[in-house]
Amino acid sequence: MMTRNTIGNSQPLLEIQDLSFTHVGQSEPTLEAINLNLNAGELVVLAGATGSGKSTLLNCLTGIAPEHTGGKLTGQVICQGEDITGWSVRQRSRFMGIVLQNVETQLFTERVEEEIVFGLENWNFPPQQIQELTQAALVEFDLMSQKDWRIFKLSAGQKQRLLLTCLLTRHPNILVLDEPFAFLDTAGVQLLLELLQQRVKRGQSVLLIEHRLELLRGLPNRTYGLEAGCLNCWDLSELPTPAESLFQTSASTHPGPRQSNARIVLQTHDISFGGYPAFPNFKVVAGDIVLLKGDNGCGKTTLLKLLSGLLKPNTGWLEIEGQDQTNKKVVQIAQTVGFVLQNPNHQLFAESVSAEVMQPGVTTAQAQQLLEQLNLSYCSDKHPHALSQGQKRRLALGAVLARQPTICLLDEIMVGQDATSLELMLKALRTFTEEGGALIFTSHDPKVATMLQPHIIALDE
Amino acid sequence: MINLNWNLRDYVFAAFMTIGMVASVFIIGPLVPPFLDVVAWGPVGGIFLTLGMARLQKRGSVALMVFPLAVLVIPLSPAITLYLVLTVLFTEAVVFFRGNYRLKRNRLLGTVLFFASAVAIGIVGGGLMVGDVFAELLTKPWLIALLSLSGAITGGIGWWLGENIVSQLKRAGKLDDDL
Amino acid sequence: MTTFKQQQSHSDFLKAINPFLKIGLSLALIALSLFLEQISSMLVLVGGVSVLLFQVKVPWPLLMYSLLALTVFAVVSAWLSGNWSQSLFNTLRLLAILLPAPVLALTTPPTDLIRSLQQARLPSFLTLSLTLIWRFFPLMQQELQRIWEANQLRGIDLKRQPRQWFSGLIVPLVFQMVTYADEVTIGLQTRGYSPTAPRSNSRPIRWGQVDTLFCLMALLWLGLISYVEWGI
Repeated sequence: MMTRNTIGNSQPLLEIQDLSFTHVGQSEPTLEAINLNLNAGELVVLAGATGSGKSTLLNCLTGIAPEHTGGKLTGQVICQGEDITGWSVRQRSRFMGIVLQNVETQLFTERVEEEIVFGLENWNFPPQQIQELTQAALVEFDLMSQKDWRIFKLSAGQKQRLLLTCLLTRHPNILVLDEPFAFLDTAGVQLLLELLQQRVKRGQSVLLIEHRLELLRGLPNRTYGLEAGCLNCWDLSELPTPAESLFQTSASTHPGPRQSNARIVLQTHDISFGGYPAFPNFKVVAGDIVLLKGDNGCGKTTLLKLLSGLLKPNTGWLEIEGQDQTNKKVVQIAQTVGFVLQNPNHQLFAESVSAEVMQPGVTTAQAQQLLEQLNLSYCSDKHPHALSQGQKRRLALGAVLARQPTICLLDEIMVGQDATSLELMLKALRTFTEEGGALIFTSHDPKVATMLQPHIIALDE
Repeated sequence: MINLNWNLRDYVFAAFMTIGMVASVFIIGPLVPPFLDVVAWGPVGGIFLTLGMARLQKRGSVALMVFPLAVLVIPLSPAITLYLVLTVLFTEAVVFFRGNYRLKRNRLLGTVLFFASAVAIGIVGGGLMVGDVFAELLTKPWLIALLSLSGAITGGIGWWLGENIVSQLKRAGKLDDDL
Repeated sequence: MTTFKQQQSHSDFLKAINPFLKIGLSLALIALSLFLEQISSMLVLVGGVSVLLFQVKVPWPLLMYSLLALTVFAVVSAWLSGNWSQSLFNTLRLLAILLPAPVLALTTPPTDLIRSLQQARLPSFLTLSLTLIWRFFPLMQQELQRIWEANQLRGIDLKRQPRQWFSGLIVPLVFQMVTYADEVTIGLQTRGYSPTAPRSNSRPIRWGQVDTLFCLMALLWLGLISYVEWGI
């Protein structure tokens, strides 16, 4: 299990030496003997499936583990020659700009300028210097005209950029970012990449945890993959280009019924909502598998919400099993349409995994079968919130499939599944469609498209 | 052995429980007449109070959750601030002699005392300040006792529901006090 | 990401006043109302507060709810006591107790309040708590909304099924809150916050001309109320 990946450089900014970490209640380490150097002016990427340990490595590096997670850490983290293994997150953030996945939890004030000031006040800078640094940051990041804008109303990308502004005000040597592209649209991704490149040119180091490697082609100095707790050097040029993925090559963009006599279960008529361009008209027949394709922010989730009744269209109308849904309530539509949300935490209500699936009208045998299909039967007595994020997504899917809807909507739920679990999940969905259910989903994962062979509806063309 | 010093985690957790209490006031408040709002608040407010006590465990946990609320309402109504402070002081003073909030029965005592005293102090304070209908209540101690008992009962329901969630959080590994 | 939406707030005279002055005036008005016995002086007090109320945008539902509650109070107390003028006086006193503070609160930006509390050297946990409550309250409302929708997607209409509130709404919300609390603790540390470390205050609230003007006007008002009540 031991892997050594020490890249030679006389004065690395950050060194990780033989770092191992074992989570609370586990006997096997999640990370084992990790060695990694980060040099000035480098962009290094850490990739790997969820569960591979990349978030754990980030936690160890930033001090979140074991301080906030518990567990046992061995080995050393050295910054510019100083052993910082025992330092708190705050101590490390003196020279390390840390951007977590959910930037909401890193912003604390009401307005843009106040947020920059907040961080500087925390470090007890003299008031005069705070004013100077704040003004400089507002100018550098082109925020001068937006300094009084309210943070609550900013988009995820805007918040992330503001956080980076705040962190970079103090010129940290190292920037650590945890999946920063997750909620960004194409323009946002481009802006962030430019910003990171600038920083690298200035001699700062960037460590990026990211699984969407196609976005980073040609940028990183080194890329590592974490597999089963060990670090391996990856070559990004070996990855398939986006053009090779099935998103680009598969099927037509406006699918028609597969069989002329197939039952139409869903049909849209000139639906539009908010500021989005009008959605294309489409029909879905029993047994169909449909992928909604498009960049972040193009309206995929909005369209799913329209189909489920959570949103009502500004124009146009929706027909499910031949019935107009305009005046129907969500709870009525829910009898035929199941919707698995992106965040499963909102959708788990029971006290055990089995109880989550055992809803009114579901037999024990059906529930058991579903749990087995989704590889959850071994933890059927566990509390749903004790599961990993990937397991929670499978459970939320199970709870929806148990109600045997005619149409099942999935919003990016394949994220965070290892190969085996993803296969099980897709198999359950295949069974659902083979029995006459219709599936409409969003996913960034080309593997999913390969395995499900869906009809594709492009929303950004 | 309980660590007697508060840390950042405690402060943040307490603040989130305060958010829960404030949110429940907003939901419950408009649904009931003003003099019954504390009684009606008990089952929901009690949940967050109990959760806070179960996670923070130390003496002063109730104060840590409610004092910020009291400060928050200073500009809204200094009278409510005074009333909240008195309620907290009474609750904490009684529980002080029982130890801390590590035990379920002390959490029950804390929650019941908080809501019962909130009703009693609210009526007496209102009577002295506003007079009229509230002053009428002061002449009927049995009514104050009855309303306080209602507060105690609804607070007790809040504790019971809160303990249910505490056990769920523990089962899910989300309420580890000592890492 | 390139374009922030514009959300400027307009400032006015009351917003610029030191929050402690406003709280002080609010306390003074409440205390004074407890000693007034003339309906005319009470009218001067409540009338002044009503003038201030026009400076503030009070949300319509809140205004309607308050008016309804006040009417109920006035009618019930008049019916119980049988004395309409006394009941009117008590209603005015209730207004005098309840109104000044929210009027002043609605003209105090939360940041100013927190900064003035920080300046007053209150324990750091209080200012931290207020900051967190102000920042994350709307987020928790959003979470509540999403959980509500998730219930609807499962065919559960919580409006009609209050028995499901606990398991369907409160429990998932608490789980989200606990998760947020853990993440926010880490988030605060990544921003350099420590409850025990010294913090600077780059924008201390200072005494300005508007504060002097406000004090003079407040003293005049309080003087007028006293004159009407006691002739002094």
